[in-house]
Amino acid sequence: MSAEKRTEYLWSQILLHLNLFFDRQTIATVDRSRILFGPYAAVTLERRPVIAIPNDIPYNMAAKDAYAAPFGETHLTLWNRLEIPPGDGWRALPDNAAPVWYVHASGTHLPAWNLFGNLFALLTSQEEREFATRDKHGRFAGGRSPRAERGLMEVPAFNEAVAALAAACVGLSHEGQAELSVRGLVKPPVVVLSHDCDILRGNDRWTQAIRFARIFLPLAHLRPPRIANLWWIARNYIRPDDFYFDNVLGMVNLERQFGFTSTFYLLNGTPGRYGARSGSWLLPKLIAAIPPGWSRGIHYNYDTFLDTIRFVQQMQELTDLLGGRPRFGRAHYLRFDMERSPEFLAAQGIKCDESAGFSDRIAYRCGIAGCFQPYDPATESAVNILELPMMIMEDALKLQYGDGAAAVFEQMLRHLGQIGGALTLNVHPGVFHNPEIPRMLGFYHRLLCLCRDLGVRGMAADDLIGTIPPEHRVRELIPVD
Amino acid sequence: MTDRSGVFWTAKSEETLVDPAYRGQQIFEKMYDLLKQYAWDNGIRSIWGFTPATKAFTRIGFETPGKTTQIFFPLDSTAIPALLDKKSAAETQRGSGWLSRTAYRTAGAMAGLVSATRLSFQSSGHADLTLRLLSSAPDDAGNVCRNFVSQWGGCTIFRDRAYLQWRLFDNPHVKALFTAAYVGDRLCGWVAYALGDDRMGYLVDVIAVESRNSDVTPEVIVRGLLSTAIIDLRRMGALGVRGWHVTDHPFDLLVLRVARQLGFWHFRRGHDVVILPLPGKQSQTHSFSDWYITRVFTEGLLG
Repeated sequence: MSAEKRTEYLWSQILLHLNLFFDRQTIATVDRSRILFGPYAAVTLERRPVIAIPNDIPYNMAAKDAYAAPFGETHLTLWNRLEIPPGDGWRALPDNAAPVWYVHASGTHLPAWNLFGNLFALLTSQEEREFATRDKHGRFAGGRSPRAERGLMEVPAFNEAVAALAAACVGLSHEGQAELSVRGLVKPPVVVLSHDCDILRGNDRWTQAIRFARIFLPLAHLRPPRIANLWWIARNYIRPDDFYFDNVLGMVNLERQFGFTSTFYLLNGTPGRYGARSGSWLLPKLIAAIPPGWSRGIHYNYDTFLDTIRFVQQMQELTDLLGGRPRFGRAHYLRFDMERSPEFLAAQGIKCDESAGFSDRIAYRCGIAGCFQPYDPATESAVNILELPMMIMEDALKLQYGDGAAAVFEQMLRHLGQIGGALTLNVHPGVFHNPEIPRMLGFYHRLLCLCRDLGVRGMAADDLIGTIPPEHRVRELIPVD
Repeated sequence: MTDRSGVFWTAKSEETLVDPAYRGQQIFEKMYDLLKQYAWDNGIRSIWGFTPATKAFTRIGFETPGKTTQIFFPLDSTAIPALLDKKSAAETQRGSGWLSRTAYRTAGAMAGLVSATRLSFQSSGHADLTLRLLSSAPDDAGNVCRNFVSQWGGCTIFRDRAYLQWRLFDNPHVKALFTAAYVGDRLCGWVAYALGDDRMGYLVDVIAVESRNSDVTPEVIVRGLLSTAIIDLRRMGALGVRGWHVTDHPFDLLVLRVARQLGFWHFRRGHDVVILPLPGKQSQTHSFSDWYITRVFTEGLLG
């Protein structure tokens, strides 16, 4: 594996990220800065005001040395700490207890953690490549990640590293020493909103059968049966749109009220429990209900996972319904393989994918709150697709944090406000406002209120990607207007 | 505001606060002396507002000609405690007093059932009436206001395109949804409504005028607009829908009548209105019962 190509790949992703979330002046400063990548032995010998980043230190997945370093009004969570280089003249910045940089008297700045190794491993999903275990749907579960047990799943490590790098470049150009804040240099964070339209009516046979079965499930635990389900069965039998299709209209109006937009991922193709429960026949009505300004993408059906024939069939049907080929997508049940799916989807014409998330927990699956191009080890280059990892599935956030869920969301936004980035939030129509799931009532509204109060804009993936400057639009990835 | 003679200025007192440590030093009065002078110099006819602190205002010459009352459509069993501000809806769900919680929820559920039943029996459509959700203020909004005072008399705020755009569509806090009523191509009214941070739906503005060459009456238009607001707010997750009834202006009475038919409940709970006609302007100032006012006069935190 060529260190040069890996470096080229990582640097291109850093530039993409800078262009999305930092102001022009900072980007120009980073562009002018001297940033060297090379073997540890070589970069530690540099004796001039440069940022020297070792690119030959392997990523240690089992590292248990995570520490918090102060950065502006927040802190960076760093792991795989490096020792201070041998020789005279080196000191830790801000201090030896929680260093971000090792600074030599000559001005050389060396990251105090394995910046290159960590970021490259996260973007290329090294942990998923090395752990073969998958669940019954063929997915890598978030709980299996070595980062989970160390509490690192909710650390946007890529964003933090880029913020540290940008602050160092600005500091070096002004004062000859890295700053430890990017205040005033980052754009306000963004929340990328989306909705997986899995179930559009509450009366399909699978949903009703599951409700019926759940009447009796408590009996196995010697609890009274859930008789209330009979009411929901009857209600959705008579009024199938209630709390499903009607919620699409409700979510659009709610977002409109805040000046936000979102993407609706439409599920068509094979019906069934794991498939398109509501069937494709409802999609024309759904498409008509999504107003201009909101985006429409494909929700890859369960059985299209790495199956070209089925994928092409689903895509063709949806293309006919939409009157154009969808360029954005997310996998139903998040059936997404970090190693094979990006290339597969790129070959099918998908330009931006939002599948890289976990259904069992909220997490930055690739350590990034933003978008990037996945890596193809065969060609040692970026795949021609943008990945916008899904951080938050509404129910996972609520189940994980209960009453504190909104506070956790706020904390994440405040953190991103200090380092730059985009949080992705997926809310299902059947969950948004459904008295059958009381814990979720009003939750999306509360999250949107928080976004507004923090000056965070909610937008569709399409809108975020549209902010990438033309000079950074790679190949044919995003058509330049 | 506007009446049959044209557009004129009034000043609305949005918020007046005095630090408790400085009370008794006539600071309130001194501040209003400045405001009165400013209003007089700028041709403003009256200063008015809503307040629970009427004493302070009457002491400096304000009148209290009326009070806001509420119309309310419950959509959820937690709507009543949320409305009464006794407990937030969330607290009510897990609150300490089982009895009061149960009583409120039962009352909310029953009231909601009655309201939903009444709504379902009301026809909200007419073949000639089209309702459209707009994304920017309509150009002919000012004409609707002129026609409104011409048909209904009294006075109301002059909402032209620029005002509605600023007040509703470009509101940085909450952009109220704006459903306009058209008979043919003619704008005949609108309703603006929003979901507040407390999950209560708020009717921000309702207005309607006679349509020409059609049997679509203002009553039919108001019924269609209010029904749309209820349905949209229910889909957005509102606990209930609140609106104002303030005066005996004929259109305000019409809105109240239609709202009751649709299942709204009317109850007398709200703030006092205070008005100070400025010296020399009394003869030009309408009696308060001739005013038609809605939440579109307020600062806009609720849409």
